[in-house]
Amino acid sequence: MESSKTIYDMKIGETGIIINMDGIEKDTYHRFLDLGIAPNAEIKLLSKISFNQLFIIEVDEVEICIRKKDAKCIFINSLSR
Amino acid sequence: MRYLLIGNPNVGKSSVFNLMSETYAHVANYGGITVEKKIGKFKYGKLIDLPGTYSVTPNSEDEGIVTYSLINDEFDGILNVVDSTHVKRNLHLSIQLLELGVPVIIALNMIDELYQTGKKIDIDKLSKKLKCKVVGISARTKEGLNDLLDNLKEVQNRESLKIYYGKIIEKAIEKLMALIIEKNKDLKRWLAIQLLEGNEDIYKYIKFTNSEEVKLIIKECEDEIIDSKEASSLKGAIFNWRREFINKIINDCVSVDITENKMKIKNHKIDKFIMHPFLGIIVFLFVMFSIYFLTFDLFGTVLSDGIDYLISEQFSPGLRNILLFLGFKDNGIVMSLILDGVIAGVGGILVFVPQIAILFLLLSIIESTGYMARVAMMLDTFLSKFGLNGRSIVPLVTGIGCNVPAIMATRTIADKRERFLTIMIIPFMSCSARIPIYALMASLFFDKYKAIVILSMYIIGAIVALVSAKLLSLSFFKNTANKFVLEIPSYRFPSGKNVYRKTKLMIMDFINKAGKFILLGTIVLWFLQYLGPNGVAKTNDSSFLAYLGNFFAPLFRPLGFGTWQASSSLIVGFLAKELIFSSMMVIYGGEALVSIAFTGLSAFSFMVFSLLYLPCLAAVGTIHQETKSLRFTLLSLLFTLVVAYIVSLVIYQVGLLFI
Repeated sequence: MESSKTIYDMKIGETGIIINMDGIEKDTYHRFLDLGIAPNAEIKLLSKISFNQLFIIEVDEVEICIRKKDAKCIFINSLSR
Repeated sequence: MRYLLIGNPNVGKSSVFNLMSETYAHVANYGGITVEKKIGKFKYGKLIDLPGTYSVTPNSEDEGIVTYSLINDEFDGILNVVDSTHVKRNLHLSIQLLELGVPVIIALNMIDELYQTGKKIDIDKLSKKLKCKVVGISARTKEGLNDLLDNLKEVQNRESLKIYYGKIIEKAIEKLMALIIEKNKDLKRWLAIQLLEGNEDIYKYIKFTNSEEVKLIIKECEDEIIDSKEASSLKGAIFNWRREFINKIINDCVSVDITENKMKIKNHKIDKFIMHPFLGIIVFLFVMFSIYFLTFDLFGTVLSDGIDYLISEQFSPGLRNILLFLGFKDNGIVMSLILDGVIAGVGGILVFVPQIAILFLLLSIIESTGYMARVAMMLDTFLSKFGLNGRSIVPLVTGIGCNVPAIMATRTIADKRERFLTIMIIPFMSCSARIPIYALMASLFFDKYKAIVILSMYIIGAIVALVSAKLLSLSFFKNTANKFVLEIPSYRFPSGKNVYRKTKLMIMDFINKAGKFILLGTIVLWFLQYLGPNGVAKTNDSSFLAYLGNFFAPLFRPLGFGTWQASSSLIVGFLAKELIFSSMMVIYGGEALVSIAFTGLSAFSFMVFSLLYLPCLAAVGTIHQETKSLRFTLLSLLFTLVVAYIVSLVIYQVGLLFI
């Protein structure tokens, strides 16, 4: 069930399950875990701001803002149809 | 009773602290770490407020304090503040505290907001599952506060929480425990788990029989986890086990009455407007302008001028009369030292107080509403191109009013290196004290283009700041993480008590720490001006200051103003930039003589140099206070000198080619 879809490719309002985020640099990876952004976590893309440079996602009912660079490294399986 | 107050950021930890503690007992420094801990007295003892953190394993220097305190501090228990609307995430930290086996009391804060979202937590059940006392409270409505206080009256011993971490990790925990020299079994297991999680700070405080072997065990464990495909990292695996544990608890203890969350929808509507690429910038400019107007125009300047008036027109002449009455000679050394040195120094500290007070009052109000986080997001993309962070914007813009509060405002930047980088470039932002010298030079040499020339100073300052940030981030600050992950807080109404406490703390900090620098510097400069090689200086050109000016003058020749008068004025300007103007008037002897001494080009070069060279003494004191590093302070001074010299040199030399 490998997917090549990342948060960067998600549509606004789409939900998905994180399957892999190994491409993220170690320090940032740890911070992401602390915030609940982790493999198997359900996420929802809420909006994109600053001309699509920043992605606002929702994890465990917390809104989190991440950069495009990191959004491209978080692979997901889409839950929305 | 001593309790450590620990919790995630944005859970209302400071509100709980402020609500429970009657007074700030004091702010204490940690040895070797630059972060402070706040200690407050409450009904049954002391509360030690630690920086907000998502995990015991530190991600920044701030967060490292939690590990330090848990291992080295004396305490009777932990008060863990949890945001009850985000229990799922908050429990990751709670688990790490509960594993330690020390008394822990969990305060489920914002319980009133939880009810609004249609959820309920079975507190008794949660308490049993976590093996610790849990109390639902609301710092806003004070609900449950007495219940919480009652529970803090006596130490509540409890057994430590044990989570099963799977075969591979449990095996490693056992191996590590054998290497840790420590009697307490709970602490041993806790240390082993922390080590596996990657808590590097443990090595600083704990001795091992063989620390090489410790690292080897961790490495082997991580490899095994990855090989077995359990997770992609050791920390990730530990996280997974904890998440499973938490999910079970949530399923058992939290009941959801599904109604659509109205608060969230409202948030999104405001966000759309506030973070709009164009409207958002307009809103931000309006907010900044209002802060500016209130701080520097409407109240700040009036109050600062008032204080200045009281000191120089009322207090100082009064004291002079008293000194005369006591028999001191008019304009004698004692009189001059007291009036022009000490009193001028104290005045130099006090005039900053109203501006700092008003600015921080406004900034902390805005910060606590949740707006600041949105501004940081909006401008992050632009600032990240210069190695800065979205949070740098407020300090930088504030710098146009006054560098001193701007440097203090960098406290909201979590990453230490990004914070230091911002501090280093703030002095290039043209503060209001530089206006008098611009006004003088511009009216003497650029009459028709006065406004454009003055405006160009602000633009040059901003460009130099951004370019330096870029250069520094590529060299000196090369390893800056440059990461940006931000939890977006909900909009909240600011609490008056929090805002008041925060502002008060800022002012006390400034007076205590930066104040010393200013006072000392003023006295040193007084000495340079009053005395010369032949005793008391009778004329301007026979003081130590003039000698120093003469000494430095040749250096400034390539910049177009190599005279002792110009360089002495710059030395005086180190005390406060507005003094460049007044000392020039005194040293040169009036505007007319200044206009002969410069050409248009050298005047412009002088203006640019005044803008960029050394921040004023108060700013230097503040840099030292905020960074607690003499090395960094000196380095940032040297940096401004070099940059000022290069920029002025280029302007003057290139200008000569065209004239």
